[in-house]
Amino acid sequence: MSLPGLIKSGDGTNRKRTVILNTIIIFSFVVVFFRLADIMVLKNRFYSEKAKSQQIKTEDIQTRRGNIYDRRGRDLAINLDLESLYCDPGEAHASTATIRKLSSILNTEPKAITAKLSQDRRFVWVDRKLSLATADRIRKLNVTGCGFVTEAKRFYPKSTLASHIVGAVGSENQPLEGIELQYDKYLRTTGGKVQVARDASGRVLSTGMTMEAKGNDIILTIDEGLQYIVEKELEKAMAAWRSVAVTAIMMDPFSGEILALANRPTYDLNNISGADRHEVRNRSITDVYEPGSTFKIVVGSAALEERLFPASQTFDCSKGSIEVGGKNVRDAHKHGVLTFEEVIQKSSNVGSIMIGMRLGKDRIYNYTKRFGFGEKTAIDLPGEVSGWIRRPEKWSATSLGAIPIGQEVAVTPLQVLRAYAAIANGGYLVRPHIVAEIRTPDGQTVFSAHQEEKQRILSERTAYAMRDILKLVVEEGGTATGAAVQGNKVAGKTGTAQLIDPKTRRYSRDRFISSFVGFVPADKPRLAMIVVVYEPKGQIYGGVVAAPVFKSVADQALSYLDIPMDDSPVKNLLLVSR
Amino acid sequence: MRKSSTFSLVFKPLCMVLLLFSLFSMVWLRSSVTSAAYTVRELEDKRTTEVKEMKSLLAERSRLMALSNVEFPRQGYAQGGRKLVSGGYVFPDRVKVIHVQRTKGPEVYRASYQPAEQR
Repeated sequence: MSLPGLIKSGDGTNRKRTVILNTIIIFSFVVVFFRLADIMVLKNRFYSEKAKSQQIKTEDIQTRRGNIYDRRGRDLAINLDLESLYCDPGEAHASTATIRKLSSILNTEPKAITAKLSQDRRFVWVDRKLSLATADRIRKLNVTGCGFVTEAKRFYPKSTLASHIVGAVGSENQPLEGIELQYDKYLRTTGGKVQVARDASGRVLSTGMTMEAKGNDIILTIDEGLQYIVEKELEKAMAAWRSVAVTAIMMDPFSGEILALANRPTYDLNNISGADRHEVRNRSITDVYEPGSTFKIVVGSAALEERLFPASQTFDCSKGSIEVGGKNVRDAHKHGVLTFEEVIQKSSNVGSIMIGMRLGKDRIYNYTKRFGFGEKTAIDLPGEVSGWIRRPEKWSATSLGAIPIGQEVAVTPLQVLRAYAAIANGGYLVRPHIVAEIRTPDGQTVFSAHQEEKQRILSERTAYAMRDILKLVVEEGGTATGAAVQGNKVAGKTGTAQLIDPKTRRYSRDRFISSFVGFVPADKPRLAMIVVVYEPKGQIYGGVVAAPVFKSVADQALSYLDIPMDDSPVKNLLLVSR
Repeated sequence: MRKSSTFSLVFKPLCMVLLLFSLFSMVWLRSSVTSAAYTVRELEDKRTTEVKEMKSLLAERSRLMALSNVEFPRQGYAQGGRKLVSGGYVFPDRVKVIHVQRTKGPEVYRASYQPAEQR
């Protein structure tokens, strides 16, 4: 048996040849052996690294912000996966015709693209966050040295709806406003990197991992339907009264859940860069104003709680004015002699000041604080201010004639609404909140809003008595007949506050804030709502300007929520349309 | 002696063949697994593309389902007519809505026998 290549021969010349051939073969094997030893042992690390760099690719785990939903699970903020076009100018080759086509797809100048492709860098963004259709059209151009990276873009499908609640993010998905900012730590998540193997043709091996990490989803207390109704009516009011701004908040008076919150002017969440600062401002919690007559419930409730007067007590308001600390305060109309209920019903300044004088500074201040004025409501939205009220020792001689009628105090619309909610729910101060639940992407609840221990600020007797008085405001003879809703009783109060003229530093004669705050159905409240119209033109009174907005919203909201009329049976109901 | 020769003649080549077959099988299996992993990745990429498409379609649906679009959809002329139609959604007029007691309606006549416990 002989090995191939090893030739045996009997003759001398052949033997020589055989030896030479065998030597060559053995030498070749030795060379191959040493070379292999060199590659596999001596230069092992070098070649391992080289192979790794060619075969292993690092991929980013894409991060996505959690979604935001309304209380019925309707989308308010979601993510879109869009394509961003990049190029390596060193590798990029594109003809003039291709660049022209590319510029036409991207809607830019060809010069701008040429400039990007000729930069002295290894990575340049050509355009970012393009739609999938646009990306497909660009792919068909087959531009060498260019590629796509998937990037997440926040998308707000309802555009301007609930803009002051949801907030927005910037171009790099950084939070800017609203819930996006307040709950950023829950919404965002961390990504990371994963190493994947690839072959010579660039095909990537599956890792079996999910290459996307998503933050927690947030479910709000607002209802898209109610929010829409409120915003639609605010839009109409803004146009009708040519006002500077309008604000409205709707709340569940028992739980403190915000059902709707809107401001006008507003902005498109998908284009926050194009919005003005005053459009982005959430006036319902960041702006303070003098509440005017809506504040009269403080002295009214205090008088009832302290049992200051007998039920038959009357107030002589026939002069139509009262002097406090040298300042004359007038009623809008002369009223004559009024009962306690009529003082609130007809919104008499004179009567309210008389009640305030009987209460005294300290009790007025204490009840103001009890109602939560002068401190934040702790709503879970950014930018809330506390408003202010001076301590009694710092009151001026005229303060006792101003504070009972809602002057010399600064409040936010939300604070006023919370005070009225306390009357609606039987005397408890609730904490307004806007987030109902936070859930992980796999559906586990990490946070659920619950009402903390209720803080009683008024006795049930006082709350019910005030509720009955506030019902009179909306009835014939009251200041807010325009807020009456067919089928359900409304309880509420109007407010007409003068603004300070910055030039004269006195109350302006032509700049007002008109408001109405109330709840419906009055005897079994489901909705508490405030409407504030800033600087209306043509009319100034809250009963004329803001109360009709309340009525329009309440009419539709009661219908939307299937709340039966007061005279309907309340159990086993079936809705039937005539 | 004869036994040993039969063993060598039959089993040794068989073992060699088996060994070779096992070796090639392992190589083939390994390459198949790798190839399957590449195919899985391609499918994952396809799924990613489809998910992207699905996300944008869901976003579009969500945009179109906004109440402002439902209440005031694109207006148009009725077929053959000149009247402008909106076909929009309106909240029910509460005055025209009545609430009635939910009662059991008349039972459908059943010809077949039904035991009492099933009724």
